[in-house]
Amino acid sequence: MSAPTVAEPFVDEIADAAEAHRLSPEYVVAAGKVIASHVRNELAGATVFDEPAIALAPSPREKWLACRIAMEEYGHHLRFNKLAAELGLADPMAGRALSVFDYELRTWTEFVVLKAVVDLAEVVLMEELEDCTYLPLRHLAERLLPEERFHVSFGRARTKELAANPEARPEVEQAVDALIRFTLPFFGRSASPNNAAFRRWGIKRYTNDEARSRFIDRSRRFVADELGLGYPEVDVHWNG
Amino acid sequence: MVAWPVEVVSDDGRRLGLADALGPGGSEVEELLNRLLSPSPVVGDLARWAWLADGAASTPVGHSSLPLAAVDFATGGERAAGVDPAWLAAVDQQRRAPRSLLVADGRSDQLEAALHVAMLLATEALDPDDDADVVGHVASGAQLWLLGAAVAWALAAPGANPFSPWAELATAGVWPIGPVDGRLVVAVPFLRSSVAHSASQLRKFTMP
Repeated sequence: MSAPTVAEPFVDEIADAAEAHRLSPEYVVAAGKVIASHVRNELAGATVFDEPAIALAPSPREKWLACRIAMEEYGHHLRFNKLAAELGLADPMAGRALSVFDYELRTWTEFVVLKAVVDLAEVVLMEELEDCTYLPLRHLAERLLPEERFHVSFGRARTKELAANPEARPEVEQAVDALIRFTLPFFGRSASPNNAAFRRWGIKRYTNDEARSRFIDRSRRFVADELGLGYPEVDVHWNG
Repeated sequence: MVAWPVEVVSDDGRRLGLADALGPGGSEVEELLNRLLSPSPVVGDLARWAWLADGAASTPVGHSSLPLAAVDFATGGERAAGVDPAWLAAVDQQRRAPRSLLVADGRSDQLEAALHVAMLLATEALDPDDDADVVGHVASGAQLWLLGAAVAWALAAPGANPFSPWAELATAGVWPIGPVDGRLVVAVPFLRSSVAHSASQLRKFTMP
């Protein structure tokens, strides 16, 4: 087998960890980096955003929804962690979570905007994994996407309600602006050797800029068309 | 994701059941999780309605003498927004109480382990059938919220667990909601108005 390239990527399906290891150490590293990233970031999200939101919720209904969402996000972390263990990754928590998790959640408004925006980024990344050559990762993404989409739809519905309230609208606008900017690095650097490896091995399809662009398009439609707010000036390129 | 029953390996290599690994109150946690994973349905068994009424009245913050209203989940979803905020704040405070006791007792590891196992099992067991079902998510979140509190209290005060009756209802699929407009509301799975009308004993427990 000749080494895959970005122009002619690997397209076969790898059924399990044993097959991944038989194929190539580089394949294992590529799949492992994507999995490890999800392990760290799902936990960071659940801890930094979802759990504090339970206390911030304005009503019992919202509190209980936030509780369910937090549990689901924590469950996502555990499922990715299980994949990491199966692949034999040394310590998926060793790396740093994305900078978006440095954000300090202070209000319920911020939380619902976050669900609409940051979880949309998660959806964009997970949708790409539906074509992943590593089948355990593909199947996990397929399994988790409905839950992530629910989180986004919850965030959108609540954000729209708040944006329609003249008193709450300025805070929504501020949160949208801040969280979109915070989320853009989520997709990685424009010039990324890791991403090139992911695409060579069919773990991912898009460059980081292409994925970021998809997020920008979809979030812009929500912010501009559904909320009637201005979209912040952003750059599809990011190099740190 | 978590096989049941759970076996724990202690630091000295011994294999323990969950109850033993969690220390005092561990058997109460194990029993709660057993009920969660082998639930007894409420609907269809009229004898269980009395159990439901008694359990609902034993709220986490004391006995409620409000008339009971058993509703379907869709109605429960609507009523959930109207729960008495002062009552809910008291329940929240009650929820937080055992953590400091257990930490002071040097049992924070046992608490975290118990919550970890319980939430893993319960998140799966109480997963809404429809991923897009908002009310299902609200109900599941409430049930998880109650179960987490019951687990912590089981360790902190075995046999004197204020969340035990409501957690038991949750393991049977019931969603205890709370006081709303002078009634104590609980949502019961698969309850339909036709069921309520067919049994006179149920009328006093249901809202029209």
